[in-house]
Amino acid sequence: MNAADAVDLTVDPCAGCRPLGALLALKGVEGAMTLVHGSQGCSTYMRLYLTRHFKEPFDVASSSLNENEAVYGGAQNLLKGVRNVLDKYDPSVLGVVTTCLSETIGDDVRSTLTHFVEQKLAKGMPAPRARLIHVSTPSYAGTMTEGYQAAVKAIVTELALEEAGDDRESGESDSTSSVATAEIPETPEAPDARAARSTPVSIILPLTSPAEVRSIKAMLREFGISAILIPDISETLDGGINGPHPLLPQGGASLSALRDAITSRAVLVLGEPSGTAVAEEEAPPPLQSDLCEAGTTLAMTAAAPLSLLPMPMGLRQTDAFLTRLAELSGGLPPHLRSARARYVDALADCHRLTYGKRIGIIAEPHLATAAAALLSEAGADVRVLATASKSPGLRAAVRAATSMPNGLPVVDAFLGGASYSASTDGLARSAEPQVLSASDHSSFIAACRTAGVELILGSAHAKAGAEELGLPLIRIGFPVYDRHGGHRQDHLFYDGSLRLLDAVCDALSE
Amino acid sequence: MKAAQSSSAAQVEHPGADILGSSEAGTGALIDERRAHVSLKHGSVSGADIACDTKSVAGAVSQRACVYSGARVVLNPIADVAHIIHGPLGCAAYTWDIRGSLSSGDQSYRTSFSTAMGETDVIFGGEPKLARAIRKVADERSPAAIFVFSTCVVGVIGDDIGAVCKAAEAELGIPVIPVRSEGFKGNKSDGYKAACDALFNHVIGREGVSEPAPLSVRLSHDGPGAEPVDTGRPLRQASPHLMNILGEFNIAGDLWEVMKYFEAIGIDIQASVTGDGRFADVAHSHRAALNLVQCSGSMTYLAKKMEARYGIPFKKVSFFGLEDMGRALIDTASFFEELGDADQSIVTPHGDLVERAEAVVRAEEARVRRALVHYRGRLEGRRAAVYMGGPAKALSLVKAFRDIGMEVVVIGTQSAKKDDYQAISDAVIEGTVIIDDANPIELRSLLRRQRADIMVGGVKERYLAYKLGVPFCDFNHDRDLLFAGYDGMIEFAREVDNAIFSPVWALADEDPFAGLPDRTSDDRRAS
Repeated sequence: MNAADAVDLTVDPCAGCRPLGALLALKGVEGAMTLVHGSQGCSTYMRLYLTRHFKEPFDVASSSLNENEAVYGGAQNLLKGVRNVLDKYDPSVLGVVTTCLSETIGDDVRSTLTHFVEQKLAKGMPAPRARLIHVSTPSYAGTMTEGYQAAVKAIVTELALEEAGDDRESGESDSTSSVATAEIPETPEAPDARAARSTPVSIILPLTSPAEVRSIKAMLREFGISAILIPDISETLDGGINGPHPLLPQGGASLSALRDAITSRAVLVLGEPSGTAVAEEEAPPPLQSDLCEAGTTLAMTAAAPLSLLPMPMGLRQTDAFLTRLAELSGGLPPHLRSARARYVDALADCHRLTYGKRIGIIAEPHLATAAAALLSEAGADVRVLATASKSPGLRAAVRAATSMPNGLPVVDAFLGGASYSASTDGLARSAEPQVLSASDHSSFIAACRTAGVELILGSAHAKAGAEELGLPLIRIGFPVYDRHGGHRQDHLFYDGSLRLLDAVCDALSE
Repeated sequence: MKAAQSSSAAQVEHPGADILGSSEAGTGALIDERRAHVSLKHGSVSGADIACDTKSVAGAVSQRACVYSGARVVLNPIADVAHIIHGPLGCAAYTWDIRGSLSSGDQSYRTSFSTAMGETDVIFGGEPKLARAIRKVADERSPAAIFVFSTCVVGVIGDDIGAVCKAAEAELGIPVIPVRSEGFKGNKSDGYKAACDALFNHVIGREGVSEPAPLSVRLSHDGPGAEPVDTGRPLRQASPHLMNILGEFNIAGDLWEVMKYFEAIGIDIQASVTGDGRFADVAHSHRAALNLVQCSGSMTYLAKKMEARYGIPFKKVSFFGLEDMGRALIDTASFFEELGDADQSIVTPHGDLVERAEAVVRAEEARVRRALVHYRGRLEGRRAAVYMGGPAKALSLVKAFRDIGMEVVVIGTQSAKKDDYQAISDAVIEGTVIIDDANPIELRSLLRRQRADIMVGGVKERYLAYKLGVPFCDFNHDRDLLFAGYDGMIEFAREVDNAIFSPVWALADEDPFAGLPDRTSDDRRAS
């Protein structure tokens, strides 16, 4: 029995289920439509949940399984669903994700989809324009975090590698003719590196906000680096109102860009703790195993170096990402030096306020650890960190994120914040944060209460718990449906980190 | 404007291809199987033959949810119980904090409990885990009762939640009620039935639950929305005219808004099923003389069962819009007046119930109509598209829009039945498109074809409308505006006016950059 199963009761969950994460990742592929193979409610509830956060239409089809299919199998409904979606949406990619229902009744989605294409060809009909891909996402295995990663892995293996392989075999050569983000201009600073820079870099992203993906793209433009972002939800989940609205949102990583990934001169995976190295015997397990696996496969196929990097939040994590970009581009845009200096200046300005403040964070693993690093740099004392996911790499990632030059803050139990009770023993000296994996809001809030936490970072779902403790809540991650701009949160790089730091300081000053 | 109410000849036209023939994909917006679900109100043509109450078409992107969701939304507002979702995490996560149902005190219903089934539970069965979860909730939270919802995977692996609940109840001494809501066993309407069955079979008339004072008596003591306080002041005497309200979910406080009018007339509410509901209230709801059914789609089934077993008659009402609200008050008053005339045991004066109701309605209607003059002047002649879960609200909206000078030109629901579509067809004007179980592609085509000036629906429809430049008004579970009763009508008019006259729609049409060339990256570098 694994850890999550041992928890009998989840009170106020802090994650959606596995298929939901897959839908999010697939939204980062241009012209992609998704179909949930399960009961009608799965797709509708996930749409509702996603729409409330992103404030965008989010069409998801369903194979609408009923009792009959639960008994006799859902292949016919799946085929009908696929046909209808291809007919009405004409997508370039159709991602089929499974659910607890379709997985438990044992539907073989992959062979059903293969059979569908083969049948068409056998009848002399053209193969469907859409690439059909399948992501296995039984809702009882893992959370949306794992589902997101599984879909990214499918995008890499089925759309980047397999497609590129197909092209080579069939002699099509358009895969080398276009570079993914062709608009990225070259900077004048290092013209000698220009040729090398036109070869793309692939960056595999954990779940970030559309605004953060746009920030990463802008930063890449600053460096003059052509890059393929996998996935790219920057436009698809934060689109504009601008003339006729297409059935499927514009933007996303295009199929041709994904095929170019195989020519990458470097592969980056974001969201891993700093200092993570690949294939080292002693290395702790990665935080995001499927993302790292996708990155490794891509890097090996492209014969390119792989870098595992933390989310560029806070000082040192941003430094690490920008250093890597500088290596890849041959230099650092000078204004980033002043941006960094400004961030250090802000840390100096606020450290009296933030030092030793006890913080609780509940979010997805990559975000929770990145935020923990940002706050630790400000001298704050991350006491509790919780995620719904049960990544084996979490503890090591938190340790890496919260290790600071002068060690952990030392807090005098009797001079602590107002909510801190002197009768609570054993808290005087800060220790490593309490790390809760496979957690829910209820255990997180209980741990925050015991630890005398003074400020909480979490999603909109953390609101009730924060109110219960009478603590301020800074909304990060997903879902944030009770504030505007939850999907436009951008805490990346020095400027974005500064926004989060300011919010923390403002909350602590209230 | 009068609708063609004489159309009893049920000859139907399904011009799906004509109505929705030209979509951007060029293949038509309609999947063939969906043709019979779309109808055009035309002359004596009736909408009653519209195909409905069927399973959704695979791949059609239906806006419907599942059996579990139907049961969950109906039972969730019962405030003093714990709702445990037996299934994987997602089913609990997506139904947490999604309804604007308010409670005047106990907030137990807001906590999300899940067994968060994992792989081992699916392989070896989830019953032991469920039993432990129930025990834990009972021990740590002491709710008035526990509702246990089954989900898809529970149905597939065959967990016997009935047996688990029965054993838990015996062990723990509190009511533990199974809700048979496996997601795939039908559609949302079947979920309403599952919820009603749980209430009828396990709650209503339940022995051993001490009888509370009627809900409205308690609320008038503490004030709606206020935490109950022990003021030492005794509760007022309950009226002998006791009724239940079924299918009012107290979104944004709707129940409290209408309750005050019934109180003014002299009618008390024994139980609300389920908005601001309490377990004991529902358990004693069979003591009331009348059931008012507001959300007919979800609660008519329960009302019929209560009529059969307890002899409680029911009336379908709506508390939304001037006409429906007035009728609800007067019809209810006349029911109790007639009942009082027939029943000599009721000695309290009842002869003036209808008179009082009419006075209230007269005064309030006059007040609201004065307030609506302003909005009517601005909104006259505009066209609305309505897509609702059930038929009751959709029908009320047709009338409410007329109160502000507007007509509904697209009307659809997820789960209405033949009779409902007949009523809808009778109510709407010529040229209105009626649609069952619509999807985003169909809705966007209809918004354009029918030149709708506003769309009314839920959150899934909101952003679709916005992208098309169509104003939107939320009339669903998650709205935060009170739309019931007389002040609710003014609020509705204000919301429609806000939506339509916001500057955003005019700004969205401006394109100041149309004539400007794109600046290339070379130019950028030159700077």
